[in-house]
Amino acid sequence: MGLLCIYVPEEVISAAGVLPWRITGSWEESTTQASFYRPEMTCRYCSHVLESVLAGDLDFLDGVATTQVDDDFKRLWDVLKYINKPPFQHIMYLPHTISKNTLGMWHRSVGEFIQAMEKFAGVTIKDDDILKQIEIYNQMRDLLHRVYQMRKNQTPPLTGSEVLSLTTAARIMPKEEFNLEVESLLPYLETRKPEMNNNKPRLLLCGEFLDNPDYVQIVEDAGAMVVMDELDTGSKYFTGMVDSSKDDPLGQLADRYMNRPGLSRMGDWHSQANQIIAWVKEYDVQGVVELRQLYSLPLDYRSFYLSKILEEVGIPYLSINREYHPSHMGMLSTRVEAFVEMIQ
Amino acid sequence: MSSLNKPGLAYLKNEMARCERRIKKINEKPDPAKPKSNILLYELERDLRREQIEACEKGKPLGITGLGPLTRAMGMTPWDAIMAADRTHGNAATEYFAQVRKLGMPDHTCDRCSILVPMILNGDFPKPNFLFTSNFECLPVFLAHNLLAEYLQIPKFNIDRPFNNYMGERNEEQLQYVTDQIKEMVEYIETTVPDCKYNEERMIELLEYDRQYLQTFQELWKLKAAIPCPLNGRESFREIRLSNMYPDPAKAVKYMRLYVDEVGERVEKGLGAAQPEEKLRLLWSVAGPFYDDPFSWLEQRGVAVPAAEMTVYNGWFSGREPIWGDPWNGRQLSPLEEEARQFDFVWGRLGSDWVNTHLHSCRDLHLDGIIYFLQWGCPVSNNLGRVVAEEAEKQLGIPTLLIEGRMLESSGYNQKDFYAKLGDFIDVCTAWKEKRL
Repeated sequence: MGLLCIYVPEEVISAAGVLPWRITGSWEESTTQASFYRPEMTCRYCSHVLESVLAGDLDFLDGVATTQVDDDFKRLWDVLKYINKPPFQHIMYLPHTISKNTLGMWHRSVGEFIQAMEKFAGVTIKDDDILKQIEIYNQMRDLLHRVYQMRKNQTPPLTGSEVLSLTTAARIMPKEEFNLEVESLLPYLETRKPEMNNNKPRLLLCGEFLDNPDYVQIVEDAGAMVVMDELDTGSKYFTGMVDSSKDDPLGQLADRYMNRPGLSRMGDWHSQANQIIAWVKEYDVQGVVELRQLYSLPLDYRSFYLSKILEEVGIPYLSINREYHPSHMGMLSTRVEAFVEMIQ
Repeated sequence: MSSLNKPGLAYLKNEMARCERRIKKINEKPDPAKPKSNILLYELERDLRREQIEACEKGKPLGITGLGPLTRAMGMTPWDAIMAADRTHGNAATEYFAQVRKLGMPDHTCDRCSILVPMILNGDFPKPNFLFTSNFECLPVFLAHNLLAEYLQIPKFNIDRPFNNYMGERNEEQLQYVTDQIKEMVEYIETTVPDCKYNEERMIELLEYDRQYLQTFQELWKLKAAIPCPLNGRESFREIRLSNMYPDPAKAVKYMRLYVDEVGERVEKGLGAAQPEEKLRLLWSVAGPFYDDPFSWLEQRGVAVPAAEMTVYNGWFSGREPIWGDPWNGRQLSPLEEEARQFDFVWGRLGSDWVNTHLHSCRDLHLDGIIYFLQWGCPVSNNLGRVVAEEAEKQLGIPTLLIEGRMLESSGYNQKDFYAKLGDFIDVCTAWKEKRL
């Protein structure tokens, strides 16, 4: 089941015996086929995903699930529905604020998703099935959290691009298998001594739909260490456990997906800024680099607000546009190098 | 800061002066080709600006709670910044875009939302005392409002609604969901914004004016179907305000009545906008180059534009969706439930509704083609243009022109190229029409 955003509760898909697979779009420069439906100046991740679908690169998917997190995603889903590819499509209603009222409707939306998955997979999903998956997913979150804790070390055992590769594996692998791999990796990481200069500035990387490690690599090649991220493909993917202590697995599951750090399409930018500031302190970060995906409006708008807030608390901040696929790397590299020099 | 050194007053005073000039001109030398009712419209607009100026000067609450009458029923003067931004095209827009770039903001988003931010930050339009945001509008409007609220620390409340409309299967529950949020918003405003208190009697009164206003507008939709089309394209394209936006809603209802009667007279006389005779009828969708007048150019070539598929209200105008009351069981809705119903229009729904509203308009008004304006930075509309085009061809046998552009920023506009594309499209529509007939 292909996923387009982090709000779709993966535990439900796994409980139906289906593999959740976060979709990566085509990394090719051209989106010729997608441009038939989507003009150039729209979310590039969505365009590259559509390109992959139309080119047949995602024919292995049996279905796709998303929320209407923003208009670009809603319209991508509309087009997938229109062309009926992949053969199953589901869109969940996602509230954009958290209150008792909106959480109630979100619970209902998750309930409808369970019904849709039952129909799709021809199974009945029981509370126990969900509980079992909550346990497996919580273990994955805990393991990734432990890896991230090591990034607080003076010399982190993993580079930022290596961490992105690891979270990418988490997003597409069967979770039990992933957990076993990470469990065996942890002892090695605890003793790993990478050849890294401790004097490099420590950076936090912001961005959305950033799934190509090359982009993290150019930041690190500019002479910095990426020690924390605010990526939906990184920390935001696994931050926040599902509380499995209560007698309402569905409710607890739904709440976790709403309560963890949100995408910029959610209007709580004040909380998002506070989360970044907290991580800056926690990870001893000296600057924040944001690689905004071109034509992705929410992050564009949030960055204007974020620049004001981070300036007020004295945190250096660089926000620049990037393509979805690797492009203009030299130009980006120059901008990041200048920023790194400035904060050194 | 504006030259008058009072945030918001420069724009408002200019608009007021513009309305006064037009009223004077109509009184002194009326143009027989234009509706006589225009004078009432300019008076309504002038009075709204005057009221906003007074709110600024006397510190009365200024804000927006949605498109329904709740804003006024809460004791606020409506803050219509998005529509105000629409009126700053040409050089003014280019100047604002220069500021947008200087601020480091994206310049590829929807024009009206891009302009809105420097317009408010400069103090060229007043800073509101309260803002609502919602997922039922397009993403850029949400983001612009959210940015202003967060950046300027303006009290805000977000209303969420599911994307299935109230005619969908979840109906009553959805309505209750949105109504409950509106009740929360009312409480929030009462405790956060000074001098605001919900007045249900006022709410009921304003809802009644809106209902009368919309009923009259439904008559206009039927008149638009007349051949030849009595309306010129600019009239079709006007984004109307509901009567509740004006300080004197009774006058707004009167204006709409007079205007529709005048259009009716044109229909009776067989008068059409297209010259020398109507050869084609087109739908203009989303937005257009407001700094130019392609409608007159089309009309001079025998092409009428009876409707614009850009407004949020076409479902109501056309009578396809009920404008009042419970659409399922005939139950009378409470005033706040009626307000909740207004948080439901096609921009917030899924794509099938977007496509269908285009097809319905084409059927209702006997149209021969669609000009679909791909406005930069509008993900709701841009990403469905091709699907609309395919379905219009498949279901109605009519062509669609997908034409890219900006509605306010004109520095990159090439009129010759734009009109050449329109000219080619006229030829295509004519050929397809002959084939259909």
